[in-house]
Amino acid sequence: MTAFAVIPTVRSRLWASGVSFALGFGLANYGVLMIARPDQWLWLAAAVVLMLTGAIGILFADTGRAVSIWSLLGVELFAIFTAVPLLWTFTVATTRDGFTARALWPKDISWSTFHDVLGSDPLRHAALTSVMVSVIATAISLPLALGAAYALVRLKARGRRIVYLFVLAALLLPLVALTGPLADQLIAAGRDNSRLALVPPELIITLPLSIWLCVTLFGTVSWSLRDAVRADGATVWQAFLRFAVPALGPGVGLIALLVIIVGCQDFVLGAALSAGDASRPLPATLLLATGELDTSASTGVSATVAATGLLWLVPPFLLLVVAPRKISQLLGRSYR
Amino acid sequence: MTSIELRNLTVAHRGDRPLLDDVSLTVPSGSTLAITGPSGAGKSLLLRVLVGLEDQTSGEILFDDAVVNAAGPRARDLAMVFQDYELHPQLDVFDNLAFSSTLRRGFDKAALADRVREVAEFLAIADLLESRPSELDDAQRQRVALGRSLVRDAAAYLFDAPFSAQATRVRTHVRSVTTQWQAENDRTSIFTTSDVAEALSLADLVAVMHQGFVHQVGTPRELYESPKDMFVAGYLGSPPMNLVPAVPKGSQLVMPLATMLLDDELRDRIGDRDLVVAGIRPEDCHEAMSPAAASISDRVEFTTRIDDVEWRGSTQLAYLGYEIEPDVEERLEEVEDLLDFDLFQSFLVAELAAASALRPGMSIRVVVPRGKVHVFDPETGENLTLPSA
Repeated sequence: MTAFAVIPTVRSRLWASGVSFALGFGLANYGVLMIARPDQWLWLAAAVVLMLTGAIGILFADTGRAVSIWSLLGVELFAIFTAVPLLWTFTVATTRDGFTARALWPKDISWSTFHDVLGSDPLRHAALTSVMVSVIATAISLPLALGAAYALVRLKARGRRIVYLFVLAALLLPLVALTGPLADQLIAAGRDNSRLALVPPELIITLPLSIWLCVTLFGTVSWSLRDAVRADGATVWQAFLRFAVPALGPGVGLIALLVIIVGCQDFVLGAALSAGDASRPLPATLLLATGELDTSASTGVSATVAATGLLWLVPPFLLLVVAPRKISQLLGRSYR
Repeated sequence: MTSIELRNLTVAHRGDRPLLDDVSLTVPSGSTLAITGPSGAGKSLLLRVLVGLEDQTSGEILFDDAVVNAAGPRARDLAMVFQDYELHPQLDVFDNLAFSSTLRRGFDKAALADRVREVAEFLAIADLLESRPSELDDAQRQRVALGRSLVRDAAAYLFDAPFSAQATRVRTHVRSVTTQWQAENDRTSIFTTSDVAEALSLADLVAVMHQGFVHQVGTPRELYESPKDMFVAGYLGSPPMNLVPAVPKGSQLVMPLATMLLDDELRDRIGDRDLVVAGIRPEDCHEAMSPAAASISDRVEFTTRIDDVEWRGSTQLAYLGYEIEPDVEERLEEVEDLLDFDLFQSFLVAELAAASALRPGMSIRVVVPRGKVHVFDPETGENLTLPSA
């Protein structure tokens, strides 16, 4: 035992600070030596943040403050790895006609691609396909999911754990494995180029997800309040209007939006099951059928894809901004 | 108002002892029944069955002599206060108080508002009418829950532990305004509590319940003075009745600290039992030198050493330890296991006048009026001192 024994927390914080500083230092050097302006500034900014984290980490290492330098570093890296691709997408989408984006930082921002995308018939058609298929699939799944979740949460039915396990398993199902047989079925039924034919396969995505989210939602509802409402003498209709609607309504609405958004992101089913352009949803169109897009007037395929991707990101982003608490409650109950 | 009767109400539980075990009770119109017992006794379940949220396996529920087994909660028309308050988070206190009244057609808005204000006034929540439940503390929420049922004109009122969250000082007040309001309106109410003093002090009738079984129903005085069985005796009272093993020897009953003469009647009832349990309430023990002891002629007397003293201001508790034979102890433990309740101690608690200076280690002479000693059968728990019915 020495007089200056380093306690484990302090040691761990010092390590985190060291790693953070070293990363920042490396980034700064690489940026200064290898990267041209204006991107150099981005590299330097990231480097400064990381090195400052290291410095602050060392200052706080031996204090009683409840900070985790490792998680701070993790959040910073996560932010960098999320922001950089988004920025690159934005830069590509806004590059002027006839130019190719070479730097991360956007120059001469041009919004024309966004106008083109919004005015493009094939893309509008594909987006409508995605939304329509997803909305119909959600509309079918949600009532089923509400019933299933009620049974799983409220009724002491035998084997409900196993049923729930199957639901979770279905969530993790590799869709690719199912697309072959599903495509065969659709071709056999002669429905392989129809938008509505995508709805039943889409249920593979929306139904387990709705059940999973509804089970989480039902777990947070105070069911004894429903008992109280019944004891007060409410009729079934009154109990629905005055207990179920206020207690479940906002959650169910949010689940519907979440499921629609996840359904809209589907690529695998859309790519595998649509034989023609008439029934291909948006993500599949962006990755498979960019040749169909009329890009002659615009900056090229990559700009169109980037711009569409950014626009496609707007609804989930808005949802996150509007209801962050409720979403983190539904999607990650462990997070408080 | 409505009278309530339960006949042989049973709620079975898969393969286990029933959750409600052949419960029969009568609550006359306009009176108050307190159901008391340790937690897990089935008190809340009994209320839930009564209100119609749970079904009984067998037995009948009668309101005003009409069987209501098949009626749903709406038709039964009872008001219930839940243990966990169950307030509507999205409604303010006023709307919560008015909620159940608005579920029925033809209520008068102005009259309802007046009533809500009146009830809020005496429950000291009048300032909170605009607040949401999340802004209140537990005691306030509980008073809102209580008010919610009082506002309504129901056939009868069920309260599940309605005062548990109130601070000791306020509790008496809330209790008395509630019972006054109920009495003024001539309302039938049933409430549950695990607080024995509460049950004894504010109800017309008390039922002692344990393990789904109602051990005894009666007026508070009946239950306290003539407990029908050992559980009722050991459960009521604070500190509870001392239950000590006693061995009948001829015309004498030998207890660990004292020996009591048996009269012929009691000796006949004890019969050939080789072990009984004697019950002595702490407040029936008197110091031999005290004026209270002087007036007791038919007495049991013993001298022992004080193990510990707990001075409480108005009285003091003296703990008088004793030894029990191992085989007797084993038999008593079996009884406790069967009842799933701690009845027996290895000391006798005497509640004595606060004035005398008692110290641990001192020797003390204790006098108990012979008529106040109860004798119980250890296996059935039956009180042998009571004239058999």
